[in-house]
Amino acid sequence: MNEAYYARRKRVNALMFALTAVCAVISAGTLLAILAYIGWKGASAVSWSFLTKLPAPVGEPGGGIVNSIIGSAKVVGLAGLIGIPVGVLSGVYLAEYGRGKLAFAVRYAADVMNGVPSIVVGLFAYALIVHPMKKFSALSGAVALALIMVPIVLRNTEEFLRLVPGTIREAALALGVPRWKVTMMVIVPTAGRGILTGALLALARVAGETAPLIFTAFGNRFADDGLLNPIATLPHTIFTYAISPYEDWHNQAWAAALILMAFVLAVNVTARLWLRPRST
Amino acid sequence: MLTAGLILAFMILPYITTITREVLLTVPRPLKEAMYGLGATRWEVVRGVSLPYAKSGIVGGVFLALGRALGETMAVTMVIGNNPKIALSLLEPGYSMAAVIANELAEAASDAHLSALVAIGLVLMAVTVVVNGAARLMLYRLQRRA
Repeated sequence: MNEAYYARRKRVNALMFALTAVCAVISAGTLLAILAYIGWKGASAVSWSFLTKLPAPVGEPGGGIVNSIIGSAKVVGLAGLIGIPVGVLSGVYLAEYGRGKLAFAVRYAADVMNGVPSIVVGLFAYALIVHPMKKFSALSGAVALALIMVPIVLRNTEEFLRLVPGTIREAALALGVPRWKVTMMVIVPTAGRGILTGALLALARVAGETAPLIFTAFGNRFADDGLLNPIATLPHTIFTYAISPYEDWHNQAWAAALILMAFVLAVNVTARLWLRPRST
Repeated sequence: MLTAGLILAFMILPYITTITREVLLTVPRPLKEAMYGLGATRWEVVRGVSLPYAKSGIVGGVFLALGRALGETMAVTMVIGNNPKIALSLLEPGYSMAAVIANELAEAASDAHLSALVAIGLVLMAVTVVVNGAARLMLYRLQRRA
């Protein structure tokens, strides 16, 4: 109607745009701030010997975290061996075979599982494996991480399988190929890149989990042996060092955090770049 | 406790951002274009069309994120102070369910202690399952409509 009214609408528009922009900057800024701070704090303590030596005896300066790096690789690798096949296959079930109530129940359960705190999953692994065996072990840690991975991998697999055009499915079926062969040799490879990326992202996600490892993998200051003994892992080592009273350990915690973060970031960035060209 | 709250706020921020973005992307273009066609400003379109359309999805996403914050363990354990008392002030140290489990389970010696910790885990799980279950249903409802 009048000029003042238009001006007010425009002002509100500009104000709200500025507000959203500021919030977006805060969101992105947090990531940069965390990266920069950990980089700054951790870089000074990272050295070749830090990466290749076992921890020094308590109270002595120096030492490294090689056992935690190997331990993390072992636990996360084992978790992947258990979690990825289960997750991918159940994703295949949901996308290719699942109909009706059961499929809905599985999908809903996976989504809710995704939000269950990792410490509760750890508690479950403790009750399932550690308590009966009377021993903390790498295996129990891996099982806990695998349980966390399954719903993530499952939902991701399902989503990528749904992107495969129905015509490809029908073409294969029309040639007289049995259903399972269509699924395993046509559909899954078509969505392969997405499925693989999802699995990698899930691995990166559980590699940073601490809570379920405190009372399953437990930590270990010596070189690890086997899957049935306590084992050191990067996130757990960071936690123990960070709440310790020693200045030297604090620095090592920062350095270990830097390494863990670099790993997770590298996996994330690679996976996303790799996925980009063909994703929708 | 204040520190723990701040940390959690920053930790759930990305979840809320991504979910909100995805939900807003499902808003049909014609609805927005119709609004622009009537001469609305950008903000008026967001307020009048996008937000109401995506409301249940955004609320669902927020609850999903809160569910995560509820069970977040390590970051909270490190800063909350681990004090087994109910403090009135936000600036006093406190304790969270997840932190109790994280601190005590590996050292629980007696069966009673262990059972108590597992019971805390059960309560924590029940709360998060309810929160997540409700949030997911809200998100599903939006997906079906889209």
